[in-house]
Amino acid sequence: MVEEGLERHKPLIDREICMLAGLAFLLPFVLPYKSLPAEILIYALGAVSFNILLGYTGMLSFGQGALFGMGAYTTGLLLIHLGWHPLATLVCASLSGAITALVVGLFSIQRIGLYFVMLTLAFNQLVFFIAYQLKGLTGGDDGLLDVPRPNLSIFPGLQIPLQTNLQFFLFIWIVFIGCIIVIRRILCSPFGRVLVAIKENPERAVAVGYNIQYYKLTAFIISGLFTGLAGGLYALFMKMVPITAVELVTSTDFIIMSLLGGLGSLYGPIIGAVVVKIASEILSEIWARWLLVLGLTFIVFMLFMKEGIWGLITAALEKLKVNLSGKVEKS
Amino acid sequence: MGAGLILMQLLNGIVLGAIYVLIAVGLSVVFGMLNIINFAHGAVYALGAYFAFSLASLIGAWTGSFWIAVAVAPLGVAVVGAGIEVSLLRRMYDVVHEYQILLTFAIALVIQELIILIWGPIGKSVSMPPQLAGVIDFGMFTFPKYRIFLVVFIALVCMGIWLFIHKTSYGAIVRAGTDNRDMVNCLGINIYRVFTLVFSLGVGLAGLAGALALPMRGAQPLMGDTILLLCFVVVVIGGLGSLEGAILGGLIVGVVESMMILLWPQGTMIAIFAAMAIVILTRPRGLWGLR
Repeated sequence: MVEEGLERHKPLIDREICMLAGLAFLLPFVLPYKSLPAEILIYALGAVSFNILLGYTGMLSFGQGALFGMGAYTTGLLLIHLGWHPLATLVCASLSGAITALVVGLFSIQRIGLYFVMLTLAFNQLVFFIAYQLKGLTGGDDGLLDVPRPNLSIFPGLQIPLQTNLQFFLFIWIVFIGCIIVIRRILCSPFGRVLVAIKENPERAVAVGYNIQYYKLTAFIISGLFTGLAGGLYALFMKMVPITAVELVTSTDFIIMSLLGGLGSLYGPIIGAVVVKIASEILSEIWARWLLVLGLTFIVFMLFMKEGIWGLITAALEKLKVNLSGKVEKS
Repeated sequence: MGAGLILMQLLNGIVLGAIYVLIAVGLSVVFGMLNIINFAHGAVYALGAYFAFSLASLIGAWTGSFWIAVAVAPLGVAVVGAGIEVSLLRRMYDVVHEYQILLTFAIALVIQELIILIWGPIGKSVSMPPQLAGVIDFGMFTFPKYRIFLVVFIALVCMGIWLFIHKTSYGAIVRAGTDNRDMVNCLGINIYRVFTLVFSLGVGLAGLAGALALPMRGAQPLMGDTILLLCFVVVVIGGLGSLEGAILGGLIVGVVESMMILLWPQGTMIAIFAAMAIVILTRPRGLWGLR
């Protein structure tokens, strides 16, 4: 199922990445909603990280919200209480996401199938209720308020402002494209191929001599690293950390985006995030019950279009290519 | 802390546990047979409550209206369940497990939104059935009659399910199907018909739980969300696929939850979900599970 973007020896930056960067860059100029483009890219990063687990390794994790929330709280708390450099807080957010993923993963990969799903779900609930109860630290139900978003000072005297929507979007855009390049490099590497092997046939992967527990755990940590980073960016974006960031609903958001976009490739979840976020913005204005539309769409995709939107796009492109080449031959 | 208070909380825990049992039994039986974890199970619990509410208010002020609602609402939910199984789940039996989980998750979303669409976002409530309003005096404390009825009634329902599964020939097919569905199919029994029956039975039980809980807890569109997660804990602790395990697990979770309210209310959910993780890690077949 996973085929695109997995050929070895791809250059770090090629046509695909340039197209992605270009299209993502257009977002703030085509969307009428001012803050939405940055949010889309943050969620896209989270969805891509989730898909490292489900699409590439075959692990359905309901625990991504915990990783996202840990990243968000880390950045938020470091900015509020210690006033660190934003980039330093983002590094810490990634690390806290990775460490949470290490703990959750270490336990969860002991089981497979449903029990794995239930374990990740239990851990998400644990982290949520702990965050909910630690009112003094996290603000509990009200969320962690008043997270500052200082400018990025690179050298003394040189400051990159992050205050307007566009400035902040550019910052997120650079981080996002950088992450996608790194994630693609990881997934194209021999390591990434082993993940796919584990997804396709875990018994055979064991039989050829791979320590699949090691690979699963590493996949978890990588996913946690980028989910935590997305969480940290979210705290900067919102200038607060709502309790929903760590709730199960964040996990399911990533799941829905990835599935609608298509699990089979690196780019599917990105498209899923774009479509879901824009649809939610437009539809929620028109009709309060837009989730009904989302749910029905989700069911239709599950039943008839398991490859997701990305699958539709690639199929259409393929058809177009065949048609064109057919015409060329005739003439 | 008086002994009366502790006893009362214990009873409350059993009442709460009884509702969990009724929902978890359906969840567990469906898992055993169809091998799916039904994320829509909480949503159909809410649907049961709303069906009962509509029926009760449709019939009006007659004293028996609530009882008719309790009798009919689960049937309505069971029909909805059969429809879901036949039209949606059946297409998914031959694909990866994860897709089935996600499909039920989407179904839950749709049911919840439909509930809000039909009945509105604000919760509904009905008054206690007059026959069971009031309390029983136990000396140290008083306890609502309805809650006692609830426990007795659910115990009878569970006995009925046990008898159905263990003593009838159809129950034998269900047990055989839980064990090895391909073999049952080979024996010339239409396993898909059994799937439909088991799924609508399980979903109907959740609907019954919703209808029974209505006078106590009312009906809110999202009432299924929290209870679904708790019922996952129940079936995991009891053992996925096991009827007896669901009963044991439900009572444990209910009693622990209401006792923790006395001891350390903030830690209730943390303790319950930690217990779930520990059971999966140390004894994945649960306390009563067979596999």
